[in-house]
Amino acid sequence: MSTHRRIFWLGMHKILRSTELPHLRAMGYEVFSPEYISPVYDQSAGLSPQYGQETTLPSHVFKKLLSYDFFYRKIDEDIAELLNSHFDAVIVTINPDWLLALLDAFKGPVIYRTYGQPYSLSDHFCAHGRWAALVTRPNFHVVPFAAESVEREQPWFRELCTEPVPYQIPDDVFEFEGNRSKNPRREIAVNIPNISNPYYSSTYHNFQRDFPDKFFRIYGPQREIPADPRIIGELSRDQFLQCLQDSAAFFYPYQDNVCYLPPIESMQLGRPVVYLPNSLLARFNDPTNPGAARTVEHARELCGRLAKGDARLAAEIVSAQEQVRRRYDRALVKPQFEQTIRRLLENPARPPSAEVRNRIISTREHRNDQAPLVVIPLHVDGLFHRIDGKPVALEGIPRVVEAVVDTLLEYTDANVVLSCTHGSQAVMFDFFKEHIDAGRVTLYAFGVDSVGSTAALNFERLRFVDYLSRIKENISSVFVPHYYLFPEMSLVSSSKTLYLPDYFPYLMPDEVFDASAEKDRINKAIGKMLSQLSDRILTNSQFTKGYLPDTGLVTVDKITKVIVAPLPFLGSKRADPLGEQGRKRIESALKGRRYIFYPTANRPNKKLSFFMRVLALLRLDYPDLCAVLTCDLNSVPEVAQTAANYHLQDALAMLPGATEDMMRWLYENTAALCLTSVAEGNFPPQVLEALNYGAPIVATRLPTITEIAKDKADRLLLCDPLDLTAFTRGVRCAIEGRQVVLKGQADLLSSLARWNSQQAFSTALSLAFPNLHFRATAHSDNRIPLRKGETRKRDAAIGRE
Amino acid sequence: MDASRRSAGVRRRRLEAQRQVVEAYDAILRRWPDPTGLNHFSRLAMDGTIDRATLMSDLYTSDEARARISHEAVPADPKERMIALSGIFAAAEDGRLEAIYTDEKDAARIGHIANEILSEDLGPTLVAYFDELGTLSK
Repeated sequence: MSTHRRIFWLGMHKILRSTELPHLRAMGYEVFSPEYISPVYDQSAGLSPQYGQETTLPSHVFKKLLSYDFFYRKIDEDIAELLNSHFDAVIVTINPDWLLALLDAFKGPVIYRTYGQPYSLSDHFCAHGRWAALVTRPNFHVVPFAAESVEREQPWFRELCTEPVPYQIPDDVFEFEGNRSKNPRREIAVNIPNISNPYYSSTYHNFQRDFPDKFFRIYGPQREIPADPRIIGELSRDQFLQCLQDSAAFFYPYQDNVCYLPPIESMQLGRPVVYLPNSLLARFNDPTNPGAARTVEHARELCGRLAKGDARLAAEIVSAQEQVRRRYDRALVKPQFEQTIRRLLENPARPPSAEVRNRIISTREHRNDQAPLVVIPLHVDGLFHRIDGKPVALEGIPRVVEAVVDTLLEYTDANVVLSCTHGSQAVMFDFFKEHIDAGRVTLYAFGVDSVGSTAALNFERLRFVDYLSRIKENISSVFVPHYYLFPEMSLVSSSKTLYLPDYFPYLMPDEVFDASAEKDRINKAIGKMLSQLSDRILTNSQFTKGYLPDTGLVTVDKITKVIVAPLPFLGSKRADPLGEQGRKRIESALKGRRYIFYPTANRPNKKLSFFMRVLALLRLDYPDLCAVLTCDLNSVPEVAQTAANYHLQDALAMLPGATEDMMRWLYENTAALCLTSVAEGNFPPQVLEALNYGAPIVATRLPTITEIAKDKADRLLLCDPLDLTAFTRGVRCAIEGRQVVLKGQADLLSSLARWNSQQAFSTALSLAFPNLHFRATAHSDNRIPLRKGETRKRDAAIGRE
Repeated sequence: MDASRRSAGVRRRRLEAQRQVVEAYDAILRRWPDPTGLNHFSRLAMDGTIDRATLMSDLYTSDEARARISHEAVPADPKERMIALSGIFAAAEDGRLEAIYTDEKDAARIGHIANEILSEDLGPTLVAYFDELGTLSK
């Protein structure tokens, strides 16, 4: 056992100073603990002096470090030098800003110990522009205290995490157990400290509003005490524990992703704990726990019964909360802490998660640099999003790009370069992680975001062009996924394929699609320029190919460069079974009602005002019927107005940012997909999704549908555009004759299988990327081909190769 | 600029450009009224007189010419600005922008020029640029 490692422990919490800090020293490490001399008030800070700690540091170093404020500020260079020259490793506790300052100063191994906080750590790091600093950091480990506390963190952050290591409640609680009173007071303990702090102030005012009962006692240190007789304020530790011990129960009013210790201490002291839904404490517990309040009213009822001495309820709760109490039991925590922390301190080596060099982000050390490259510009913010930390693509462009990338990687040996803005590099890294890890995809990250200085962004765009010009010998093709978002691609001399799935200003000349008619005109000019400078144009339907010459974007003599590639079924790759968060969102929006569904952006061609009229008419027959939409109603003001005119606000369940698993569930359970659009550039992906997920389809008879469905188009409930009677009749038919409708649709789906298969898409793409060699069948996996003598590390480790 | 447009006689033109650059420097130093020189060079390039990328690169590596380029002289006239922009576009097209940008001495000036003349939507500027080159069919 090593006893000669010197650790810098950056923490100040009084609980940790009495638990993990002495434990580290007991493990044989010399641990330096700084004084908390920050002007930032924290009711949890341990203010006991640290000068008495044992140390082998030179006296002047020890004094200098003790007199330095390490919290909430940049660490000065001279102090950084001392850290680097005198410490083997650093453990940072709790605060992400302390960590960032420390990472800037200290070059050695760092352990970041987290205990749950009301916000997402990964969001915080990304918002501060520090994603790259963390993923490129070697010998950096995050040690969370519970798996549930990082479930909603972003994947790149979770990859930095070790196995969870719980933390213990202080030893004095265990010593207090014998003081259990036989007749608890008719009081319910609550802990809300520091009410002058905005976070706790909000908690207190919500509590005050929802829980006016006099039997509550509010504990916790206060700087200013409001005129509320229920506030006890700060007590000595013994007094506080005695109060918990003597209370009938403890009520936990927080509902965020954090679990403070007083309820756990109450559990250890044998008191029942009542809590509201959604908090980390609630997620620790089984949902059937009798202490789990479903609502505020339910919580008041439970607390009232316990305050009146309902011994049976108290016993049931205490029994059920045992599993949570054990998480913090020192007898169980200490061995886990010791095992993991010792391993990390003795053997801290861990390669960085990613490499960022000259704006290129990759994870694989040895890529096949000889492979042909396909470049896809995606440097626009807002294409990718996160929901509960997971990366999602909600818009058409990134979903199609994903399908193109997947196909290229499966059917060719090409590698792909995707550009991204500075702000979207983390989400795109997570979204394409599998391909990045396989060495097939790299990201080119802009130095700026698409918001901010136009000049700076424009210059970054030209630097990207410049980069592509420098590697043009390797570039097989540039796939431009939008007709006006990436005008600088016109400067790239490599072979270009422009994706042009539709051109709505031609189909609906009276509508304005961008901010103004002038902007639409400029967009068209850019589209025309890129069309002319591109070697090929990829579209998804013969219908669009047929009208493109009339738009002015493509001349008739160049129509042969337009290639039709029907889209495969998108989204299934990420459509996992409905997760807990998705289920809650859907339940909250639907409240058990039957619904029609149209997942789409609110654009003029979608005719959502007409959709509102259909819904209003249907509700005369089906009063409980509502509609699920995923858009912003106000983006076409007329739509919001129509909804208001028909008093439909309560009949609309808005689910913007629905994830693939939610989408799947919504399709599978809807009364009908109600596609009111009057113009689509290709076979509507919603129809394809509804066919695959078994949702009855009521839709406008669009040429892009009949072109593909042909003589089986009548398997769908197709209506003339904006025919109110036909649409409502169609939905009624879908509701009353669901099984018959679905049977007909299944027949259509089977006949479409060859048309929209992955193989068919690959064949079409081979025409759009003629410089690439497409295999007849897909790779069994999309990993980089091995060189002679090379083995895959992971597979080799488990004996596969 | 695609390969076909560049391929015809490009090497010969580059050599010719080197010679003309030297003459152009002289023109700036002796008699050209535009103190930036940038407009002049870019105009020559737009005329097809010399290869723009070579010219821009040589311009930026000439201490003497560099000294003549002042920050205040970014043109206000849209046509003149377009001419100036063409120099930056050309450098990007040829993969020489980064080299210019990463030169510490030049970075500030390039950044300044970029801030001045790239502050509008890039799309319409590029459409005008390719229109000017006659690349786009009407």
